Amino acid sequence: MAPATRLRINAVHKAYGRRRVLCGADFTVSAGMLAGVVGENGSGKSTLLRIAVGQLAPDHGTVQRFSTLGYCPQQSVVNDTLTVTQHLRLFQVAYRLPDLRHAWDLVDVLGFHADRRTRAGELSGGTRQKLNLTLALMHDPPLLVLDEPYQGFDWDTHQRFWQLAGQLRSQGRSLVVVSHLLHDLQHFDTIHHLRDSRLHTEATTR
Amino acid sequence: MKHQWTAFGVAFGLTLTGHLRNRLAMAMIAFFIPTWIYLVRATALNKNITFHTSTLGIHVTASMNRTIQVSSALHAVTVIAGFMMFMATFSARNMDQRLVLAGYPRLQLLAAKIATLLVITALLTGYCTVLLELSWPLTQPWAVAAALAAAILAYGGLGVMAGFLLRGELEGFFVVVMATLIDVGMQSPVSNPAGDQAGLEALPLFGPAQAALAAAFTDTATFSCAVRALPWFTATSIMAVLIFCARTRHYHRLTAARTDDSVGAGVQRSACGRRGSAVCTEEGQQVADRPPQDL
Repeated sequence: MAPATRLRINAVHKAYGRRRVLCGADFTVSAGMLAGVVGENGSGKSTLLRIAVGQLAPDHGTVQRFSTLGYCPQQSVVNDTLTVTQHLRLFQVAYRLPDLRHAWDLVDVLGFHADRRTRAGELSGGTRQKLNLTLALMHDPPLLVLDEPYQGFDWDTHQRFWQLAGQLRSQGRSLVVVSHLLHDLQHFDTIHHLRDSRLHTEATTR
Repeated sequence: MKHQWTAFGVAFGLTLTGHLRNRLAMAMIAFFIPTWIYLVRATALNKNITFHTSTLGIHVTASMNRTIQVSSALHAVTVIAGFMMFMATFSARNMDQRLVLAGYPRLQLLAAKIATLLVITALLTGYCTVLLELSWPLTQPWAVAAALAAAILAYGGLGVMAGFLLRGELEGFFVVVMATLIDVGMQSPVSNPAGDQAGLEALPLFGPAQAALAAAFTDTATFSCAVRALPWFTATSIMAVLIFCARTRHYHRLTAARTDDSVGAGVQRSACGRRGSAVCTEEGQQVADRPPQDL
């Protein structure tokens, strides 16, 4: 039996004024798939992801989501006056989680447990991004949409992220990851290259 | 219902924590208000002036020094309240958007902001009234407090609205400072002795300024005059709600979700998007008693 579809984007168009960003983008993500979205700066990768998660409306086309999801935006969206623990508490309420065990496990995996009482405004850029990523993963959703989630990570944490991504895929989670890095391409099952407002699917070495 | 109270309680506690961590605002409360009142008391001319309060229909004769102290107190508390509410709203707005998309109830998030404004109003009002009372015995301290509270609510609401509307911190700070500067200047019997210009009554401090001045020096009932600032509070709060809802809208919020790989039994289809051409669909198996967890 074919794996279940988690996300389907069909013939999506998006323009900002006269500037066309997406022109008939098609994109399907199945269970247990790690999909990469690549492209030059300003090619529309973040726009595509924001449309995929429902933060932005397409001008034309359809977006179908078949599961709950977690979204990690490109820029860290955190409140500088609140600590790491306070962020987790807020999102625990938002996601209606009975406890924060999984969230603290992620904090341990990403290696910023020592900063749990530090305000986001005082965290380093990399640690802010770790918090940003944790907020997207902490409810363990079947579909993850991650927009350059490892910006500012040191090499060890970068490696740990890909280990975590591999574990999630093996558990049947679906991941969509925007990446700029050539050496990340080996991790992807499919690569979608956004070029001239169109999405081209490319072969992978996996 | 329990979850809604939890959502309100957590948002209220953390919003209040954010205010307490606004060091500039805390320093302004601790030093700026008493210093300003003290400096006016020490330097302003101490001769009697007579001014007319049009809403109460009375003439008030009072010391110019004390009159300026009341105006300065009004200016200080409105600047601080406007600044605090602007900063708290502005710095949290992207996070609020993310929280709402993740399933946090909008109403509770907004109610927490307004509830913290009420707490700030109570504390600032009490503090400032005590400072004025220490300067000289106010004729009606409770009525002066009511006027200060109304002024704080009006500018606090303005701060929340500006926090959702403006793009930069500096813009918000200037809006609050300039608005209060003009308003206090126009309402002060010292800087604007005539006080009879058209449109003056539409400004937020028209009622509170006249109420505070009359209550500080006379026995005239002033509560009805002070509450003239409340429509400003209501209007700015409603605007804030509308802007917040517009900013946190969903284009295809999940109302039915499949959380495992089993084949979805139900299919839900809903039109969405600002433009008619955009249609977003959601399909899946209904999950009972579980809210959408989109992001």
